[in-house]
Amino acid sequence: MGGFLLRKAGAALIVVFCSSVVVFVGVRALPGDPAVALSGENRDPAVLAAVREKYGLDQPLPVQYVKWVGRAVRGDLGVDSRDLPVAHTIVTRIPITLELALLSVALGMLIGITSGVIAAVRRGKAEDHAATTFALVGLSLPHFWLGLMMIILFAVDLHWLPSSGYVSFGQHPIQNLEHMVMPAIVLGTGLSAVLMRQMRSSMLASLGADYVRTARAKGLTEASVIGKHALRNSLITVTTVVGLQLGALISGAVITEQIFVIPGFGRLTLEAINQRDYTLLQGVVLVAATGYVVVNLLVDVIYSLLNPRIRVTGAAP
Amino acid sequence: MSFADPTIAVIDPRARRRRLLRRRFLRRPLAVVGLVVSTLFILTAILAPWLAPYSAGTSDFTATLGHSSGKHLLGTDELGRDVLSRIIWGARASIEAGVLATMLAMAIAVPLGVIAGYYRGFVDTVIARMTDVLLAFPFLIVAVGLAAILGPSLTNATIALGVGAAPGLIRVARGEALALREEDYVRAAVANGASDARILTRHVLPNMLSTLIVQATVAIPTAIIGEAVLSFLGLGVQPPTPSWGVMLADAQSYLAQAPRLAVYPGIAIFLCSLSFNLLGDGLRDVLDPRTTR
Repeated sequence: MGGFLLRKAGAALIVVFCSSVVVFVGVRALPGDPAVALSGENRDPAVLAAVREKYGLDQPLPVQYVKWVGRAVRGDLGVDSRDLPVAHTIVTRIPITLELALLSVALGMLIGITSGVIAAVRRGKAEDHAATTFALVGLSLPHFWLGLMMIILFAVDLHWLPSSGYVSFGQHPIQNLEHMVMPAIVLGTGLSAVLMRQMRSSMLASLGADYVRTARAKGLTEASVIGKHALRNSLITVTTVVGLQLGALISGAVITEQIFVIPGFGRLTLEAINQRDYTLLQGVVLVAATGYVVVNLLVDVIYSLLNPRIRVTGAAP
Repeated sequence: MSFADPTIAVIDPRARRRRLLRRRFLRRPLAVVGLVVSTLFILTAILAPWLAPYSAGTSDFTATLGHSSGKHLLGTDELGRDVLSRIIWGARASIEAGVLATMLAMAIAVPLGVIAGYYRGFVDTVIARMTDVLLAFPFLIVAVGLAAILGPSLTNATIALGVGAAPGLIRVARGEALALREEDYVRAAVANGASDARILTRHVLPNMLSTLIVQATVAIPTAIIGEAVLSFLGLGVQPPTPSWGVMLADAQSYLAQAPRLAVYPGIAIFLCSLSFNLLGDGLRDVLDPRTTR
């Protein structure tokens, strides 16, 4: 187990390192002179030189990279064009997106797993067709459009929910949830469609497996066969899918936060791009990539705990 | 070089397989609907100049935000442009992005995946790590970044969508190549002294074709929605060129006065991606019976 973990952690570290190089090079490939942007479009050569020196832009790229990474591992991502520390901005924005993501994942898992199990158990029946159709619609719907439609219906027409904005949970828990309902549904339905399909097919595989036949032969009740044997084994595959969906979730958060005007991590990304704020963009993308790698490392660990065969062979799922 | 059994060589096995597949496909009504509707969307995109009642930019300032009428079947937008015509013209951007992005993703993914899976070892490790790095960047961040570097346009959005879709496809192609290299006919070809290039093009690629076709059909709707998202965010098609995403972005300012402006383009995106998804599911059932969805 220790060796397995070390190997996985090592691979994750390499990925994070490569990602940091990609981020650094990518941000430097952006058109425009960062010094001009940082000096507030002041093109006076003396000002530009001072800005270059202040932000270390006059040094060779490898030196800049090493300095940036060296500070980044200590939690210092530099200051953005408004002189605010990037790390602090990110830390204040992440909880908002994390709340949105958690609500969406919870909703997506609830709908996706339940409907997947029902579809598999009632294969070929009306419930199966309903759930499969739901998943197909969920995969084909542009979710940001679903968001617009919900705003028209629930905010503009019925006045049930606020159309945009954010109130923190600490400030006003109920208003916080009112603001989060529609975004969480928009983001959660896409995930639930993917999970439903995965759950259905792995449940079907489990229900056809020998151990389920044995369990039935032992005279266990159907509920126990499905709940204890088939479901538990099917959940293993679903864990991996949730981890892999994190990227889609971050992408989804960008557009969902844009539509519902939620000041989270996703909106911060768009702000960084639109304002050409290089330090901010660099930090945001690095944090997103690292987060993805860390979550998938955790998923690998959970997966290996759930499925001992993986530990032995060391094969990736 | 043929290992075909002489007793069944009387009937061309390929023609028989094709007939069997066609019959299996036609037995699935949803797949047929998917094929018909997606073909209609492609034809709409190609024939837009002849199908659309108005050009995409024609403004009628006497009829802004108009309801549907005999003159304008789906009404007009805030500049008095015919909504139906703009949806018909908008099909071009969606189909172009969907098909070209998928082709680009395939062109990147298939060679890399096949090489990784077939040769394994060091090359495989390098390609697998590279894929992991690419996967660590959420597709929209890649797309947003590329649009920022290259400038927003349909072409650049298509490149971003293609690059974003490649890592997933690399994994699929690699997995297929890994499995196929262990097949008896590949071993037989190796024993016969066939070159790697010949084995890859004559044995490995043709045998993974059905999986690739299914993957491509599934990638197209993802790219179509992706194009809409990027254009909505102002990173794809630039106005006044019509695109369903641009239309939705414009409609956002008129959600209270004219919600229908936000309804029609969304339905178009939905139906278009649904038809490709139905087609993809049908093809998967027909070509790849091993996977029970």
